[in-house]
Amino acid sequence: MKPRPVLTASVGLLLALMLATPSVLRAQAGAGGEVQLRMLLRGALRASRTQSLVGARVVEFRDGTGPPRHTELVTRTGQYLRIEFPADSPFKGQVIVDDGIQRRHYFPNRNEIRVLPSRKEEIIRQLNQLLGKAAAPHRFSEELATTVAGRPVRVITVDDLQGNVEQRLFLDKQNLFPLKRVLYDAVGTPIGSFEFTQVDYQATIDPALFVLERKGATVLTPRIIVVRLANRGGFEDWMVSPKSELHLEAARIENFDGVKVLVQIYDSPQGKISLFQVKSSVVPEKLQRSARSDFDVWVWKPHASTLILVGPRSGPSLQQIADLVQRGPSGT
Amino acid sequence: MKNLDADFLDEALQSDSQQAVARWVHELPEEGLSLAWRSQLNEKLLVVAKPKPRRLSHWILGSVGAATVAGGLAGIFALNLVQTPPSLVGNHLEGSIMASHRKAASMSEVAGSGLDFDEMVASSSDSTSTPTSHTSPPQWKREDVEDF
Repeated sequence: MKPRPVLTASVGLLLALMLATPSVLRAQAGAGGEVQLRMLLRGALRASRTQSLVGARVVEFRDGTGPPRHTELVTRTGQYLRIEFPADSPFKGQVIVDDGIQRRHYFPNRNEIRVLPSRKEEIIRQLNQLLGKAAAPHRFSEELATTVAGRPVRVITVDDLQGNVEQRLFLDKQNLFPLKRVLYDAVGTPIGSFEFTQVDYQATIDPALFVLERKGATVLTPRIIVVRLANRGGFEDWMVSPKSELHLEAARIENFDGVKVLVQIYDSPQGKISLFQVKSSVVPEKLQRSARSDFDVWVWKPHASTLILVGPRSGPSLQQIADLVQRGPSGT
Repeated sequence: MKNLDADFLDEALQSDSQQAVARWVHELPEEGLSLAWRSQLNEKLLVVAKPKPRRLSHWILGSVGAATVAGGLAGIFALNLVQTPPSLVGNHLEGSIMASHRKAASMSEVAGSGLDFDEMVASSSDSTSTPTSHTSPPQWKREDVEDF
């Protein structure tokens, strides 16, 4: 009996549809594919550092704090970056300029410029870590191509060894620039993302965009802010020495269950490290219990206050940082 | 216009084709529903029929009871909300400290070189600098440029 052409075509179409379904086809990277995808990620890393563009990106973070999503107007060329906000944004009027050495953030409502260390794209650090020899083993796979900001992209998924998706990267097919990134929690819920909605790689960029000055504005560094907050809140001005590899990025006073805490956030090659100062005592065992495998804690009491270091490092490594914690903005 | 339409329809109904269709329909055998089939249908309907509506008194009592329980629960919930101090995780300082670090770390992962959690907080919190008088920056619009 001859096969009927219509039936054959239908079966063929059905098979094609099944194969095209992302859940069925998630190109598992074999030995060769793994190498190819790693090369792709290296290309993304390069593009993240060097690609010039003017665009708009939507950043979303599901945490219940602050606006859940906001739009940033991004201009970048090489290591230079400028971020502004649309007229309907709660951050309207603020300008951030990062020249690769220094990050200057202008707050118009208080006529203040905060000068911070340059902030590398976290994605660069993460990609570096993922591709490093000491990286925790991950699985890379490629999903069906789609479009972001009207441009065709390749979709790379990073899973843990059990197959839990940790993040999805949407890389511009042409230059591998990451146009979208989605991060997932332990149970596969998307916790945050950024996505370019417009992008122009050919735009002419005026170098003057990367200069941020305003005469009469108050210029503050995070170390000055710590001293002021400490004076205001009755804390001691403990800080990690500027001679360490940690860079102070931010400081604030928070209220945890009626207890005032001075919080300092430092950037380090391994990720964010927090230094907390409380006037009361804490139970180190409780802190250890709350820390999961990704963070460790170091607690000590140099004077009247209790200091707590939290970060993605081992206890002894945090202790070494604790030895570099001194009083005063210059570590005197 | 209406008369013209009626005449046209009458004429169309008298056509040979219409007459033929009428004849076929007339000649179709009439099949009445048997009583046995109707009885079976009734029995089936009784089985699948919805339960009888409850009496009005049952409705009133049920509604009042449900409203009382819901009100009580809402009251307990509201009292708890008022009495419990705000906390990030559970009700201990240590958990809040760890949650604060985790939040800052994961938010910076998403924000990258963009606006991070601390900068959002700084946007809404009080300044740490001494307030000084300053002129507001100019708010130029596109028209200001075009009109020149």
